[in-house]
Amino acid sequence: MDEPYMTGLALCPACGTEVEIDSDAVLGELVFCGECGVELELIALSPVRLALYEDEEK
Amino acid sequence: MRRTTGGVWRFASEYEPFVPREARLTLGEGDTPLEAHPELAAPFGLDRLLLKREDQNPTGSHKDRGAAYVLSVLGRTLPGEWVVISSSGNAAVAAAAYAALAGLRLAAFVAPGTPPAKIGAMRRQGATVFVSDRAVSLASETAKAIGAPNLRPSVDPLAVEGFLSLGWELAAAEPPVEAVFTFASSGTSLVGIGRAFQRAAAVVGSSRPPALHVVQGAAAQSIAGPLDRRRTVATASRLGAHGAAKTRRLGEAVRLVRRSGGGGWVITDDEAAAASAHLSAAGIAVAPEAAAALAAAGRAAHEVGIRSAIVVMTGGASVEGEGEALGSDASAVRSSGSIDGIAGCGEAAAGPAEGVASGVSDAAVSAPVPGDGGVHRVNSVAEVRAVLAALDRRLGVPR
Repeated sequence: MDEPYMTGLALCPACGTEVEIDSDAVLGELVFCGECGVELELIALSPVRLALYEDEEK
Repeated sequence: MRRTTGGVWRFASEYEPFVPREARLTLGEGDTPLEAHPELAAPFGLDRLLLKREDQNPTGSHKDRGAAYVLSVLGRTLPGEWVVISSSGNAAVAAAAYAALAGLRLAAFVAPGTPPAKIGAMRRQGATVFVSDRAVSLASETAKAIGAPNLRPSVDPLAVEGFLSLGWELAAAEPPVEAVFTFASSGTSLVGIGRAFQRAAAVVGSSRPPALHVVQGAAAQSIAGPLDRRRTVATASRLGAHGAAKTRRLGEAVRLVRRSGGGGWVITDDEAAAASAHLSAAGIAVAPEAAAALAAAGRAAHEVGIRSAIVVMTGGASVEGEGEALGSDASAVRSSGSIDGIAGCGEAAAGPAEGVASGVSDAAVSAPVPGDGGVHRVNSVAEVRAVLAALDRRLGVPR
């Protein structure tokens, strides 16, 4: 299976910069892109994928 | 039970930023009783069970610890200003009490269906309450628009600090227990306890703090779900339903639990109800979330052999409101953007309503608290600002 990204690195969907993800990251965890500052949600672990975070209204 | 002195401020030198003595607010929060309950230990498969009675904090929940610290910091730096919070209940009630003490004005944003008793409790402390279908985002937008701090625990950078005191009190329990169980919504208090455990040796001389276990309901299990060996399908569960499905504290919360050697437990409504029945039989009336934490301790005893535990009773039983929730009673919530919608302002101060009102509605409050900003149904920041501006004019606050 192709692994487009190294384990622990994912692309910021807003600016395309590589974002480093901790090896003990948790699915659903929120991180910030160090380049553009946007808040991202970790939506997959293998491979690591990020999406723009949307604050849910409850 | 006797309260010891000090409370959250016993650890004042450990908090960042530091709050000088003259700025520290207190209503007697913290240093809550730690009660041994052998009659409850056996039914839950434990040899030793202690209950940490956070429901005996001044406004009835552990949120008082966080609020005491946050509002002490803000009261010192923003005297007389507005602060904002979006909360389903306990956090806003605590914020209202300590904001009043700090001389700050609280704009609390709540969802329709928030129990009238909770709204009444906020208003008795002088809060202005806004009811909105998008309370969380409207609070955030309002805070940015008026330059006010947003006290929502999941986003407030100061929110964790006051809960360190809870962690150190738990870590200092003698003789030590294997595990601590606590319900988590945003994970703010959980992170506070976990961070405190990491520093327990230096602060309270505990070289082996307990394992930290997180408890959530099926409806919002973002923290406990990944840690629980049992898969509980997310359902329309009532337990923790007002909590956030997503939380910014997820990553740190999970890491702290794992590093402590603890686990996660997703508890069903039925499991919580069964635990609640045991607590009631013991004369203890607490919130369903607290009962869920006890149910989790029972699961842990059965599934992984835990024998001694502290279960945090995060909050007391809510006062049940009569009739419909406020949001569904149109006559009870006045329209926004109108001076007429500002209940209580300018009226003779008859003093706070006695006791905890049940089924309270805007129209039913006959003894408004001085400064009570009323309850307003709103849909936009513009409507909110109109209400706030009218309140400022009423109080003669220049803007």
